[in-house]
This record gives sequence, structure tokens and C-alpha cells, in this order.
Amino acid sequence: MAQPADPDAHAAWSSAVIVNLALLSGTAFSFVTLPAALGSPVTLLRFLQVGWSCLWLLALLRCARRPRLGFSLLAFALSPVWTLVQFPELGMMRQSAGLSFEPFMRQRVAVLVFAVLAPRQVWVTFTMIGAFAVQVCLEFFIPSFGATHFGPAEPWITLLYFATAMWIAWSRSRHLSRERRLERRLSRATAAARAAQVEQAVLDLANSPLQVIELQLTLLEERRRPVPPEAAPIRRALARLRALNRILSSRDHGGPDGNDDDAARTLASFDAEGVLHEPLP
Amino acid sequence: MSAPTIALLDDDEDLRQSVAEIFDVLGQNCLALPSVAAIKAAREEVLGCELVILDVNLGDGQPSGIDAYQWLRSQRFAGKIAFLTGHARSHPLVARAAALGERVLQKPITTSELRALAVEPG
Repeated sequence: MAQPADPDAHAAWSSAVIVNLALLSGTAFSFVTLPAALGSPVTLLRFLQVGWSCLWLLALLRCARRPRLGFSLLAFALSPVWTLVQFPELGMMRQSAGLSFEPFMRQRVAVLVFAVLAPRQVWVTFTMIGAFAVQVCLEFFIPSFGATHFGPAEPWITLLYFATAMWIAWSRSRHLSRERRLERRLSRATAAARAAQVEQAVLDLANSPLQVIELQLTLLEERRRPVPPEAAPIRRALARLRALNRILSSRDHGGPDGNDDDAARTLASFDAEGVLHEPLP
Repeated sequence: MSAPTIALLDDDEDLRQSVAEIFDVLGQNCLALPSVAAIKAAREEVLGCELVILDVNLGDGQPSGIDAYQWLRSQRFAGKIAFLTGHARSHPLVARAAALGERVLQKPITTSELRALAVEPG
């Protein structure tokens, strides 16, 4: 029997695919927007990022039909490793080339993108944002680590962006959690409605034969005097079935689909036996 | 044979026969019919009855006892109408039947309940 798909795994898988595609295309564009010498560390890191993203994408595509949560989270969290490492080099390159750039802008954008795509497991996104925060602090506080000219109030402005990204990721996680809860409730309600439908069908199919037994037994008792002793256990068994019937029919669960309006619109009878043959939801 | 005083609508043949036999023992003539179409076909006899007992669910896709009820009322049937159903009270069709203000009896009913239904005033 097929297992139901894990919505968390699917969500994490989608996030991982999008992030890796974004990193892959972003890195490819950077070969044009900020060319570097073929043997330079930046070029090496760019190729590493391209290969890294391609490998993750291939691995993710292989498990597209049944994604695994742990693997998808790993693919999401580790996706920007080589980009993260090349940030200080890029800063230095842009600064020494005299290009107009705002330090830490790439980190801010990257972190906001991660936050917007964050899976429900918010700690994964927090860890990524933490790694970016460490990189920003190292670049800012260690003079030889990257760019040396920063805007006012750095790195606090960038860290404020990261805090905003963390809030976005946390909000998204809460939203996704609420969605999962609703999905679970819907699934339980569907199962309960199905159980009610089956119960109704059983009652419908069982009660007419029970009625026939009841009436025929009465006729037997009326027509055969003295009443045959075999009638007594049948009468008692019937009483027990009637008691069971009362219990079942007194359970109020809103009908097969809980929608009285539909029943009001279509007053046609229904196929109780067909209901029992329907597959489970 | 005297004109029927009770009409029964039920899609279960054994049940129709059993109810008719019980009413026969009780001294009543019961006209047992399997469908809404049969009720309409026996219009004169049905409208002459004092009591009509309607099953609610009459089989897949068939008009239900509610349809029969509406037809009877549209024909200005002045007698008593009761629903006899195997469903729980919460089923939409049964809930609809109960909302019509008529008696809804849950199968299986006893002979004494059947007798009471026949003799009590409408």
C-alpha cells in the first residue's frame, strides 16, 4: 500500500530546488557581471558552486516523487556553502576594481531569499542565517578578510536585515505549521465522514432484514399456539440487535457528507451497498 | 376485498410482504408498493388510505420517500403520513423527513408500534 506523501518533505524539497536553481543561475551570471581570471580562487569557487548546485539538483530530481525530509533540508541548508566562502573575495575584487557596490548587499539579498523559501523546520534557516552573520562579522572585523570600506553603522545594518530575515522565516514556519494542522484536521474529518457514511450504509442494509425478522417472528408467534420454544432465543437475539441499532442510530455525526443543502437539492435515494464498496480515503 | 386503508412504500419485497401480513392479522388492508412510480400509478387507492408509511431510501438513484411525500401533499392527501427508515436520524434525507413535521420511525419497529401507528389519530 502506498504511503501518504509527507507535505513537509515536499515543501523542503521545493525550497531546496529553488535555492539551488537560484544559486546556479546567479553564479553563472557572475561569470559575466564580474569576470575573474581562470585560475583565480573566485573562479575556482564559482565552478565549485556550479558543480555543487548541479549535484544537489540531480540528487533532488532523483527523489522528486518521494522526497525525504532530512535530505531535502540538507540540500537547502548546504546549498550556499561555496557562495558564502567566495563573498570576501568578491568584496575585495569589486573594491579593488573600483566598481560601485554596497558591501554585504549580496548577503542581505541571499538571506532574505532563504527566509522567503524557508521550510517549516525554522532551525535550518536560522543556522544558515547564522553562518552568513558569522561571515559578515569576520569580513567586517578582520581587516584582511575581505572588503575594507563599509557603510556607516555596519555590520549592524546588515545584521538587522538578518534579524528581519529570521522573523520572516519564523513567520513562514508558523504559517506552514498552521497549514499542516489544518491538513491533519481535514484528513481526520474526511475519515470521520467516511466512517459515518459506512455506518449509515450498514444501518440501511441491516435494518430492513431486521424488520422482516421482527415481523415474521411476530407472525409465527401469532399463528403457532403454543409458541414454539425456538422462538424465544430468536426474540432475545432480536432484542440485542435492536439495542445495538439504537446505540448506532443515536450517534449524531451530521450524515454522510454533513451537507444538508445537498440532500435538500437532490432528494433521490442512494446506493448503500455502493457506499460500502467505495475505497477508503 | 375491502379498499386498502394503509399504504406502504418500501423497496424491500420481504418487508412489504411482512408488513402487509401483519396489518392483515390486525384486520387492516394494506397496499404495499415498491416505488414512487407505483404510488403514482395507484393514485386513487393511495389517496383513499388513512395512513401512508414511506421508506426514505428506495434504492440507488430512485426517487426517495421525500419525493413520495411531496407528491402526496401536492395531491392534497389528507391522511396520516409516517416515515419508516433504516437510517440514523442524522442522515440528511431523514433529517429532511423529520423537518417535514411527520413521524419518523426507526427500523426495526415492533408490531405494537405498527398497530399504534395505524390506530392513533392523525
